[in-house]
Amino acid sequence: MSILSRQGKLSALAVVFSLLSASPGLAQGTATVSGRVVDAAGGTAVAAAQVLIGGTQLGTSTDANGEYRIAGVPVGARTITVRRIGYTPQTRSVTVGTAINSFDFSLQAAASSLDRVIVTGTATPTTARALGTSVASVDNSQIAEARSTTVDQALQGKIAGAQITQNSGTPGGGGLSVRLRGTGSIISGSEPLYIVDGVIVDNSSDQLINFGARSNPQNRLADLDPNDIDRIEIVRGAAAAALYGSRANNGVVQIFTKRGVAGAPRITFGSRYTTSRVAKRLDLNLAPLDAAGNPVTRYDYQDEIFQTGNMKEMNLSAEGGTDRSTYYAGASYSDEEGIIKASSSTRKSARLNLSQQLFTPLRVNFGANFVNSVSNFQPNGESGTGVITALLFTPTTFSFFPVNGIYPQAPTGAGFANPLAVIDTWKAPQTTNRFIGSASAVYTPRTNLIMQYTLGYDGYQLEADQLIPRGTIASEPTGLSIAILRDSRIVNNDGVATLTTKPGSDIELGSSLGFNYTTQFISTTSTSARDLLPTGELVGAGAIPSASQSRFELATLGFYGQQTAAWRDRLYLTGALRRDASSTFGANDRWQWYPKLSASYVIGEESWFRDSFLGNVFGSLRLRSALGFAGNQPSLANAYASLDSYVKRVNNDHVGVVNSLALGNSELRPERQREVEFGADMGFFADRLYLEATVYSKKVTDALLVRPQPGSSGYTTKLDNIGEISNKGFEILARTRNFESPTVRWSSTVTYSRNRNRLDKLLGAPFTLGYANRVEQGQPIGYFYAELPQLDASGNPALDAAGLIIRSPVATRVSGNVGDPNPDWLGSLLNEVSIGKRFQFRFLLDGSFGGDVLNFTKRTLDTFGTSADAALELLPASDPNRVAPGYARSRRFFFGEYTEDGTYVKLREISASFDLAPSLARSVRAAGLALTLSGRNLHTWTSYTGFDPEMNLFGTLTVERGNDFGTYPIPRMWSLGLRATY
Amino acid sequence: MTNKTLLTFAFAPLLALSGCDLDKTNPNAPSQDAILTSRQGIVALAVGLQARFGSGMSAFIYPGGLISDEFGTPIAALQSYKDAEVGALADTYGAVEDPWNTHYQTIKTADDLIANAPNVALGDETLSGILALSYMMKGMSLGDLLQQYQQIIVNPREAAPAFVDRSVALAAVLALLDSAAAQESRVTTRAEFNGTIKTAGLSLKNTIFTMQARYHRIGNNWAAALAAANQVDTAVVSFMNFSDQAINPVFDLSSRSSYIRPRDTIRVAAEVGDARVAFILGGPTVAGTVRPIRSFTQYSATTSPIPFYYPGEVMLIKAEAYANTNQLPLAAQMVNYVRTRCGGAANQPKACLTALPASALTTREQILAEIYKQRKYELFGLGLRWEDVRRQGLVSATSPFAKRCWLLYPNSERNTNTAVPANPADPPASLSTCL
Repeated sequence: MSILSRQGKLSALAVVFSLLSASPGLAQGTATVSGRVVDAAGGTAVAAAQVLIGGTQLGTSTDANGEYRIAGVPVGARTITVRRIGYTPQTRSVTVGTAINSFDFSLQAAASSLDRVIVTGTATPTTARALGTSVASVDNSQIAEARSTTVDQALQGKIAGAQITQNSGTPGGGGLSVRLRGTGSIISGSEPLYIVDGVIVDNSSDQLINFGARSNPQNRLADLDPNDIDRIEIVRGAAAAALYGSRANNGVVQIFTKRGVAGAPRITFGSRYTTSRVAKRLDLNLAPLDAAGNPVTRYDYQDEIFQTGNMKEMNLSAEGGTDRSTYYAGASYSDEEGIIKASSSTRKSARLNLSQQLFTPLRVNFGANFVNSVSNFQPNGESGTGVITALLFTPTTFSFFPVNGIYPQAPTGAGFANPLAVIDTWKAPQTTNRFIGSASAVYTPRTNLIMQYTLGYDGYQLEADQLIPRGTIASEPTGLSIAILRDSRIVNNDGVATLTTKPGSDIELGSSLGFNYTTQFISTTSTSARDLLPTGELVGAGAIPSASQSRFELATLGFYGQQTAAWRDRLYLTGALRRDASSTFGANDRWQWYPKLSASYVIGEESWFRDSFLGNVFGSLRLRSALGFAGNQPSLANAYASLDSYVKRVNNDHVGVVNSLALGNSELRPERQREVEFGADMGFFADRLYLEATVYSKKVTDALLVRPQPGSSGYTTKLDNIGEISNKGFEILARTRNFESPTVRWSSTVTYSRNRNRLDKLLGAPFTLGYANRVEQGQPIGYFYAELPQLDASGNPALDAAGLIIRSPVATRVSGNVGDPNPDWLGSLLNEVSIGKRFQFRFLLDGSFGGDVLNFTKRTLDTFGTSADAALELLPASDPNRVAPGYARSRRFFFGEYTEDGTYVKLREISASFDLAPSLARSVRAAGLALTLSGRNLHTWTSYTGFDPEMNLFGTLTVERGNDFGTYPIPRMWSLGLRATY
Repeated sequence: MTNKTLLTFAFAPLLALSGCDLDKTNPNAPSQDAILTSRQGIVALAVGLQARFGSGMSAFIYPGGLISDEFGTPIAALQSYKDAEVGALADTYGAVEDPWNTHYQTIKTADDLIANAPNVALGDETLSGILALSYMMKGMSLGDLLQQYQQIIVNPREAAPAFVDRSVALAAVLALLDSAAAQESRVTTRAEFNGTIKTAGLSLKNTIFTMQARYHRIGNNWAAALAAANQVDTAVVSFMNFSDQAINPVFDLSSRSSYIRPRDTIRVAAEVGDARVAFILGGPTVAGTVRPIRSFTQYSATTSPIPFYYPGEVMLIKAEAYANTNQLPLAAQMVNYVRTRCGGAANQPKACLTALPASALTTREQILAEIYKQRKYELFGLGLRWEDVRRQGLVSATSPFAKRCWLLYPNSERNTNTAVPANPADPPASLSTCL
């Protein structure tokens, strides 16, 4: 595993380039080299371009004005290489004299990204051209322009092969699910491994308090401030992620934060104001008459529940430094109101990244990020106390409004709450204090040897509280206060050494050895109390307390070796092998092998290719393929599943133990994935059209499932490696530069992804999770399986004499496939236009096609007579639109009646930015002043009838996808931002 | 300088890795080792054994109660309970799965103790108590199972455990009870065992003897049954106690959840003045899903104890043994003793009836009929009724007493164990003893 800072990468590249350059002359003295890097088309400064002096470890990055300065360069013949993501790199031979050395560079924008540097999934930083896999990367402009609350929201629609869904509109992110090339697990989680600057970070979304979704409405990646992000690399499967071993089945997302650009201090201040509104409302039964034909008052509580949410954000950053040391410091504050009253989220974040070259061969980097976030949640979804849920169950004739200060109890049962009481009197704050820190050192004792070590720490304390005051719900007459404390920390130690050799003029070999050791600790203490003091809020205010505690520890240790061979910068072969162990595996199967092989051939740079007719068709062409293995550990809940354990069992007056009914499995292994991918990177029309196409096939064996045990053994279950899952797919990324002139530039990015998921093997009977998500051999994971109605001659559900759908007697009921939440394909289109030097416009369309959604919201409305359809049953008998009374309710057994096409296209992002006139900026003593009007999720094109087909009741859970049931809707957001640079 | 840095770099990883620990222990639950090789672990496991046995008592009481004529269900939506009441079962029903799984879980714990307690320093008093308890509860669990399934596994710790028929199972039960008796009688006082391990209401000695009597009776070993019964002190009632943390599982099913309630037929068929009726049921008669039912008063609180046996069972076993060994006057005397018992503590059913005249208890058949009748009232709610119905040959598809002979073998066992025999043809076409 290789985890490097940008500076580490610089040194690494310096090593590589020193080998490629002519043999360095003996230093007779040093001089300073400086210059400016500009965009060839527009002449604008290119900031953060890497400038490297061949044959030395010297290098720097350009500042905001595109300028660089490197001191201590040995005089003589040198090469200078300049590279920046999105541009074709340039290497120039120069002679460094003792006088002034000024070298300017003009970089050509390139749609091709063959020469961008990739760090993730390789032992040592390398260019994309050397990899046999496709690694997606998203840079800070794409993240900053997204104007999103969280980093993962900013990735939506930008990565081929990734299905990124926002599960709810709850403030603070709403819970994002990221599936890279399909679902590869059933019970062990399908979210990728997240790494920030070499630190493995927690992205859990465990349900600590029941807000009605079986997972938390926020995933912990929400703690990162998108303003701090420099770029993100996404590795989608085992072929690319083999070096991460037992944690990489679901892919790896590595996030790099800004490290600072050398130069005078550059201060940026940003401020943004956002309004959020509910995008769509539910159609309720607002019939003026009741079933007996009498006039009746009906209520639509959506007026009382929803609000316009305001959001304020501010961020301030400073960066700068010298060629030996750089810094980035950022602070931000955001305060978001939800579109449901009394829900909100605030985040305060501070970051300091420092990099210092201690000696010529030794550079050290430090990163520190502190975050405080507080979210106020509301129950929703399948919780009877849910605010939206109450709308579905309660007759629209019922008044929830308080009478003499007392909120009427919901008429639907003791466990159901009055939503107005919940909004006005309940509290559910969730507070996180988190520190992510890293320290790394990069040491290059010889020009062809680089050694690096990274120590990472991610720790947080999370307190999830809920207060249900006395007398606000019948099921908790004396009130309930819950406080759940979670303490989480992950520590990782990574080391890698790479030796580069050049046995022949055309061949370069790289040999790496590395290790990593990661420990994870999670402790959860739950306390609650009933019988609260009338005004008491904390657990201490209760007279009947209870408490529990759990603790989990995991350790993963891995060693790896990698050998690369490059021939003439055209043909690259890589082989790697990782040996991996985890404390979660059974003692008998603890150590696992994960090999990988990859090849990349930049055939387009062969002279015979360029000279043939193919050279006229392709501006550039690279062919690549890779094979790799990776694993997935048992989830934290199963961290001790390899052990036989005993559990508490109380008998009358004594406390005892008995064996846990789950039998320990001393042969527990990781879920193991084998991935093969083939692809091509193609440039056409002088690289104005650039295409990356990849076809892949992933096969997971040893998928973990709960295997039933014979009851006669005294056990009921055992976690066992018995399933097989396959994902096969195809993904395309296309970038085009549609129009380029000195004043107008227009470019587009298109992604297309298609994945077919299948559960190839399931030992044992099929089963259903959630409401209808089926796990069955030979079928896609999570397809909708439900009771089928009898059909009439025309294929519609058969009706009885009263016009209601007939339900078969128990013995003859049949269930079957009624839909599939897995989309057929995903697509996105990003258009970016800049006019002049001061105006930019962009929009992103993001779509999901062919996935079904189970509209449980509608089913519940129908069942309880609160739907608009139910209102049709109340029309006068003479009305031609009248529907048989009870018809809507009679549909409730047949979920197929409620599976709808969840195809959607969203206007995910739209923004217009205007750099104000320099004179105006100067009047506020700023170097630059930009105004941005942007929108997020402004419009959804869909035939889906509920709030939003993207949402999922079950949050981030793996199998339970595509369920809509009283979920917090995703808002439409408009925002206006101002950014000043000094 | 360079060399020093190089060395530091080379050793930093070693330093980091020196702290590697891949053998984590589970802080949330003790390991098998921690329990089976330590004194505290064995003591805690002996408590856990009783907890499993106690919470599993309902799994013996309710399926047989529903299939025989004791219980009905008031809730139409409870398909499996409703079906069990008319003798229709699916092998996935709780009534089929629960008895199997819970009893074998108890047996697993008993086996853990039998195998490991002797290797831990416990002292003879405590060791003999724990072993007596373990043998007894394993024997009782197997005994419950053989009254519910046609064939059972008696040695589940074997690599490929075989299903054995009833006579083999019965011999295994009696052997276990003999071992229990031997351990129990080895030591006379057990301060630690009685004070901190054994559930307060359990009389180990009397329960072991009663179980020997119960299973010798099932095996028709009348002399042995009588000998065992004669050693029981019938002044003692031996109970499993429950608390708010470990509640009475029959209460949970009946009074709390209303899944099962006594059929009203037990009241309708009773002799006038039989005080045991009020001990069993109360309240108004309501319609059940199949037959009328009443509220269950026998286990009316979360902490109501469930007897391991009632003394009436011992008396009636004696009576049956006398009747079957041609000591009819003694048998008649014992039957009338049971009929006329009255007063005292309300912890057991007492008939408070008048004695029957000698003319009504003259023949063996008369006496046995009266014994079965008294057993029906005396042992209500203990799970023993179904066996009595079988013994009398009253099982058939149309019988009002029981519409099937055996539970099906559970689906979960069939899916995971190839040794499971085919389900017996059930119910029998005509009245049968099922054997």
